[in-house]
Amino acid sequence: MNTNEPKIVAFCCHYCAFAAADLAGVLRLRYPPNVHIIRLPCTGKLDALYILKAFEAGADGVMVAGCLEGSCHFISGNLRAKKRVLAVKSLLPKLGIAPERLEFFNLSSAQGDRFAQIARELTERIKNLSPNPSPQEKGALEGGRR
Amino acid sequence: MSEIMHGAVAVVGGGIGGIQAALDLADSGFYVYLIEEGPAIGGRMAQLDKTFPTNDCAMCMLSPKLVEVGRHPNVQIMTLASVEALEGQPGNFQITLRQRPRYVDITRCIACGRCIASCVYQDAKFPSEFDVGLGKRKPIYIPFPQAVPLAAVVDPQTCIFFKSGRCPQNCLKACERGALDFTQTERVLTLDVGAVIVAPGFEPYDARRVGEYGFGRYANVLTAPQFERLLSASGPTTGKVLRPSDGKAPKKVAFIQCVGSRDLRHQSYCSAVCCMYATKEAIVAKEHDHAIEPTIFYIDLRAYGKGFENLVRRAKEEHGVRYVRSMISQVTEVPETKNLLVCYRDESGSLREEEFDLVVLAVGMRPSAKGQELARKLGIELNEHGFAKTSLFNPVMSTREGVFVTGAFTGPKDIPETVIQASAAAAAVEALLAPARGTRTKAKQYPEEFVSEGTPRIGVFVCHCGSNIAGVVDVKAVAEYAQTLPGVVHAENVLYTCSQDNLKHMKEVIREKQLNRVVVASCTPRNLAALFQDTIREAGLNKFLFEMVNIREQCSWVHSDQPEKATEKAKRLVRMGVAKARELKPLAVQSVKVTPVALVLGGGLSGMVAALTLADSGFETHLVEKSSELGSDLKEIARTPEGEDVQSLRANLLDRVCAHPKIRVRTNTAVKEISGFVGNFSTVLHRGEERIQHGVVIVATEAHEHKPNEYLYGEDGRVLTQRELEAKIERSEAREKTIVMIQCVGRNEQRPYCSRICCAEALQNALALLDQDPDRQVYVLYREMISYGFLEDLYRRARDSGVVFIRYDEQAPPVVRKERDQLFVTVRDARLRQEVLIKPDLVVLSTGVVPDPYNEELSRLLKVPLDAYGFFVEAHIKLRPVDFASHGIFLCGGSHAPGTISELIAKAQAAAGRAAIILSKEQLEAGGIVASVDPEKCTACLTCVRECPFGAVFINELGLAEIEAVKCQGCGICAADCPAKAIQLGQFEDIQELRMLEELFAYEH
Repeated sequence: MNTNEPKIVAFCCHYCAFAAADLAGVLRLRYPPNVHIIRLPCTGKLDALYILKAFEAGADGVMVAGCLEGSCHFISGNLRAKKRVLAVKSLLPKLGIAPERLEFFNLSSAQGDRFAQIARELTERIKNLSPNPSPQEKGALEGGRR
Repeated sequence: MSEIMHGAVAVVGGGIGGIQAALDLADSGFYVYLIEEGPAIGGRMAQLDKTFPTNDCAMCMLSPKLVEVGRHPNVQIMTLASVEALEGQPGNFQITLRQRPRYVDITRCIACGRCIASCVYQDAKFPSEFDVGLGKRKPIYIPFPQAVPLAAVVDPQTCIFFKSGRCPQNCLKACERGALDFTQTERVLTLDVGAVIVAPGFEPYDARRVGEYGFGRYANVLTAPQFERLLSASGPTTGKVLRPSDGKAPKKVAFIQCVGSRDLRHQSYCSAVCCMYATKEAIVAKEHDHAIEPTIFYIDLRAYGKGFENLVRRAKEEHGVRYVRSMISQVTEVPETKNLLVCYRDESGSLREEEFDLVVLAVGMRPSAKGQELARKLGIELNEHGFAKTSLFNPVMSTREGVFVTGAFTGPKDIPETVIQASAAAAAVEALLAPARGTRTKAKQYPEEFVSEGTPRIGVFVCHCGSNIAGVVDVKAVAEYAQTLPGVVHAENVLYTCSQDNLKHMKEVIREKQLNRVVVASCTPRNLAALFQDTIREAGLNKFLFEMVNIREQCSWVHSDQPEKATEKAKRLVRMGVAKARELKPLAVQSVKVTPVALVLGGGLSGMVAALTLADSGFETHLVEKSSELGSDLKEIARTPEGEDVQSLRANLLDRVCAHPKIRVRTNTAVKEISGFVGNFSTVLHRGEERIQHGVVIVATEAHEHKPNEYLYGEDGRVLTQRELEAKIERSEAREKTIVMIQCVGRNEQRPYCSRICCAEALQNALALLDQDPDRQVYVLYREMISYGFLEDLYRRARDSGVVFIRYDEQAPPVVRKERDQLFVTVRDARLRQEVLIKPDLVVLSTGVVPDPYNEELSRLLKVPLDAYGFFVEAHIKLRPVDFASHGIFLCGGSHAPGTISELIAKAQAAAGRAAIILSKEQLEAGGIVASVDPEKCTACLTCVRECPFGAVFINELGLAEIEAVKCQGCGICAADCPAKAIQLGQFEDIQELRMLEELFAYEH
């Protein structure tokens, strides 16, 4: 993978963040093509395992985007997801992965511009980090920090 | 009533009210024509950025409804259409419509925008209706990004072709779909319908008519609807608050309230929503740009609805919004800076002047000119304010039988009240047309599903979307790549996957190549997934064996500057989609029989109205009341503030309830136990251990007047509550000369909410006292006068009649004491800043209302939530005001929130209407995208039971978690939380998600 182009996985909830990403398209905004969206019914469905799996498989960054707080279509899913993301974030250093590579966002479906902005900013942020351990290296890390 | 009865209904007006009524009716067996004047449905709500009191995003709530109504098989949306005439009688009306040409065939248009880009007008130069003139559009345009129908429209008023006949018509050539048609002409058509619901909404007051504020003359004076567009991320400034004059960010922003409202030169009534929307806009502005300092200039702050009090407190305390009680005399512009000088008289009477960078006018609601014309054509009467005339006890019935009215057309109101009235109107139509239910609706027949498990045989359809995708992404290469992926037996490019000819082709390919999974790579699944799922179902496939890959909104449209990378991304996305498709499983949808019986808990006003509405619609209803009689909540009320006789209403309801063959009343009866789920509940009553089987529950407990333990109440017979005074007046026993009324008694930290009805009660009693004896002196000591809507006229009448109104501060409540048998009331007049002493003969306390204590037990029995004050919490404060989050359980009455009799009636009818949607179905579909527990892995740790927001998880007889498919909403929270990984959510199973991740990173180009 080209280090200039960090691969980012974006877990987006169907009702808000995914819709915001659609709106970014409708408004013909631009963000780097390295952001790949995986649609979930609700960020509440996001298993902590998915985040770890994404990093293991080679993701350089993971963003999780749910509805605005208080606006979750499933009442509390975004709050659950936020908790899990924060928990995983605190674990990442032990795996040699910078916690800045993982972020949780709240988006309304009308925030197409914010989605594009987040995608751009996260890409920039990750570009400025030292490269993520490759999947092969990770096995040899044994919990050490880079 | 006609002998012929049509099972179709015309809903006129495509705003949130019309949409809600259309969905309710179409979901309960009626065919709906949704008639909209403009080019798209959505109404005013679509233009809002946020909604109070939760500051939820308006479009997030509305857009799924737009899509739902747009795709509903039993709703026909007719845009650019207006009503010409209505003939016939209830059950058998002929409604004549005039439909203007769109010049675009909506069945062909794919909203790609090429026509717009190619228009001879290179720049958009005409004011956009959607952006209230702040943004610009071209003569050909798409009303807004989420519009339904999502198609371009030509405005002949601005189009060069129509104006001069000389236009190269680039748009026509640019359209790859041949969707434009300039030969379209107006058409007139007549439809047979059984009833009509009228929901044309309102018009914001024209701020130009309030000349002293300078709107239209000063660039930086905006109306609130315009400011709302500035706040919207999809608005003309993409959500940045900028001044029109120089594009700079304003610092000081003034909101001026009551523009056009509460003013005899304009409209005498209060517009009911402006205090709250200004509060919302001030907070949101501050959230967008922290440097903004909002000031709200107001007369009375009317925060009277559920949750409103809290929002205002947060505005003040957390966001630093400044509220100034004042009267504005004028706004003038500083020519050099285009800043604005706001000249106002503060409460003490001093004249002040303050400079602002931006002024927002909180314009009121007025009846629209089109609504008035519509009323004429439909033959319905208007009230003195120009809104639809209704009776208080029949709030959604117009003056013409069979024609119902809802929403802001009946008076100023907010979104939830509009939604309540819409559901109430739908319920009224259902009761009227019950025998014709199901006669005009179509149920689609599908072939039997063939067994689709076994080796995946995947078909991939990669869409060009004309040049929308193909212009950026090398779609041929993507399809060729798809062909190489494991499991794919067919891959092809399609010009437009969604076109009718391709859908037919897809079905043929499925049969020919025996596909058992389908992947479509095209636009967003949010709009068209349901269409493709339906198509594969028509070909005999389980509809869940489908995956959609978004390579338009989330690829070609955002990466058009990097076509090669966009192509690579499209390949990766398709690879992920195919990986998921390989793991897809058919999901079963089971049918669950519905018991068409309702249980209504609470036999007050709301319970009786709900029971009658359901029974009139043909459903057997059990009305269960804990106390010894029905309608006891109405017993103490003689009349409404408007003067309507409440006792005859009560008598009438009692007669009808007791005589109705479909209603079974039980008094002195409480509920012991409720089990089951939507469609099939089973309830055991305490009395006789009787068991009732029913399909829905309506909670209809009422709120009660609070009995205070302050101000000598209960100690001195001359201290009464408003209700007690009313009874005394009614008995003609009131002899006292000097009367002091104290508002907001008992409103404190524990009970901070406004009870909404007490100010009107006070006004009513004050006027009645003066009516009996004009020499009396009546004082009303108040915090804010909550005479919203048409009640404002009552407030004005009271002032004119000589009632003395003294405002006190929350921190300095009045004091009542007794000395040598004389009552004394002292109060600090907040306006005069002086202590006032009154020696009254009678002290009357407005004590507000408290919820029924029985709510707590019901909350436990039904597992439905209560708020901090003991009122029930609805599923969604804006769009699902009478539903609980748990399916099949509904709420109305004072147990939901305090309200006037008229409001409670509408709410009860609405709850009945919502419940009737379930009861009208023989069976409910359950299953599909729901979670299920693997009993082998479950350790009964109860995590899922705790975390499910819908109470769908229970512990079964084996002591293991089990999920009630009918209750499950498919969010997947339980699946992600389960420590044993024992729960999987259909269509989003862990293996499916993980495979997608693996394949994304396995891709090498």
